[in-house]
Amino acid sequence: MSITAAVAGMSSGTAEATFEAVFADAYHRVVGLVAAVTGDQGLAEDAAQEGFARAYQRWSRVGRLDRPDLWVARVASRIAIDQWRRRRRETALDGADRVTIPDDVQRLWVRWQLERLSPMQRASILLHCWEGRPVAEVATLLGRSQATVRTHLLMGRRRFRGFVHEDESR
Amino acid sequence: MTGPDLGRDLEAIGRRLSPRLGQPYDAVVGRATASVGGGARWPRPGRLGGAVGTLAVAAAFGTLLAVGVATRPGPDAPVDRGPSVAMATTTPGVPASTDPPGAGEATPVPGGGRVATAPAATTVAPTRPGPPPSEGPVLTLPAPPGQGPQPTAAPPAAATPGGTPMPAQTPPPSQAASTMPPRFAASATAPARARVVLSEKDSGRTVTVHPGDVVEVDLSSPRDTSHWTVPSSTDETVVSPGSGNTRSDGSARAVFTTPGRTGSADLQASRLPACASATPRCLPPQRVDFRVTIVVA
Repeated sequence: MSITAAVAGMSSGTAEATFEAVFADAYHRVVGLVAAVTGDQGLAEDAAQEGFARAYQRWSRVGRLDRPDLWVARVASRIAIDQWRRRRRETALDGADRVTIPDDVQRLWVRWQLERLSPMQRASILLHCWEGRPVAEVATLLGRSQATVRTHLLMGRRRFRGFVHEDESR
Repeated sequence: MTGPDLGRDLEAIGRRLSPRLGQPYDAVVGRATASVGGGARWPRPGRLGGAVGTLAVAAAFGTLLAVGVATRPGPDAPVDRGPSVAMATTTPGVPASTDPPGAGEATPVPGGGRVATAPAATTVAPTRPGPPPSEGPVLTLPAPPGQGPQPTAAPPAAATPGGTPMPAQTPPPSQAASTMPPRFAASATAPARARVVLSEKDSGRTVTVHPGDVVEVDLSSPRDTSHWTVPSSTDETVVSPGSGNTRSDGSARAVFTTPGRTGSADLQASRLPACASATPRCLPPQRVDFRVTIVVA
């Protein structure tokens, strides 16, 4: 079932059925997105589940959004980025919690030249390029200003010219 | 490369990192319901299973109790209205001969009325013989060595108080599958994994688990201003990290899996003082404040 159909079915079907449909449709993408943003497999699963859990608690509102999966992606990305920052502080101190970046995430980073970007920059680029979301929406999704997101995309554009959508003003 | 290509790549990564849907779905619902004080926000008829029957019995009992209370003779109404609460024993399908002696019996009172001497629950209980329905594998406390937590998917037998083994009641496969959404039905047939939860109080212990079990380390918030680091494994081939995080209150949590290789590994974490995260930072001496040896056998 597509997400649109699932949400449209809220009036007739049960709320949980639509949540399950959205979960089944979007869970793997959200885990993949968060893993690609932070490079941390453990964080990806944990943050994605936390994102869906928060959506579950607010499903009467989130389920009526145009794209509840993007709401989850935003929440999960921000949770993961916050955790990643906290973990990096600790890792810098004791060096015990080194994260092994999964191979397929490494390959994705290489293909998209995301290795040297920060998680927030990766999130900006991936959300913009993956779904073709306008800059304003990406900024809203990530809780950043449009100028900040444009800067992130500009940095990305220098790295992989042509991949980013040409119309930055969208 | 285009957007759809990227979407496919992200989905492929997600599928590889977390291949099953049923387990994370249950974790999501568990987290959501736990943090709101228990209970889903909507009824879940598809997952209630045997609880529906329990609720139906409870509702019938409540109705009968209400009728009984409503028809109970008052102190100034000496009339014979027949059995009141004891009517529960006449529920269809409940033979009156199952009543224990005296239970539900109506006692004559002066004036001709009768008062039930026992609540109907004592007469309803014998109509549900057998062990309670089996529960799914949820949280399992660490077991003593040699008695590691077993998956509850197919317990071999349950002992009665008299010591006679009885076959454990497990729902038939078709019933178990029907309580899961069709999309997740495949995961319902997956072997159940035991889950061992460790806290800082378990530091220094040695815990034996089986291949495939899940070990969760939950380190609660320190009382001082220090904070835990994310627990790590000294041998990730034996006990591999699944997920882990720290929280702003200083607590930390990590989930480990035992992929199948036997051996032992230490799970360890440290408590860092608050100054370790301040600016300028202090450099505390490296030490391990939590260490549990996991033996996979």
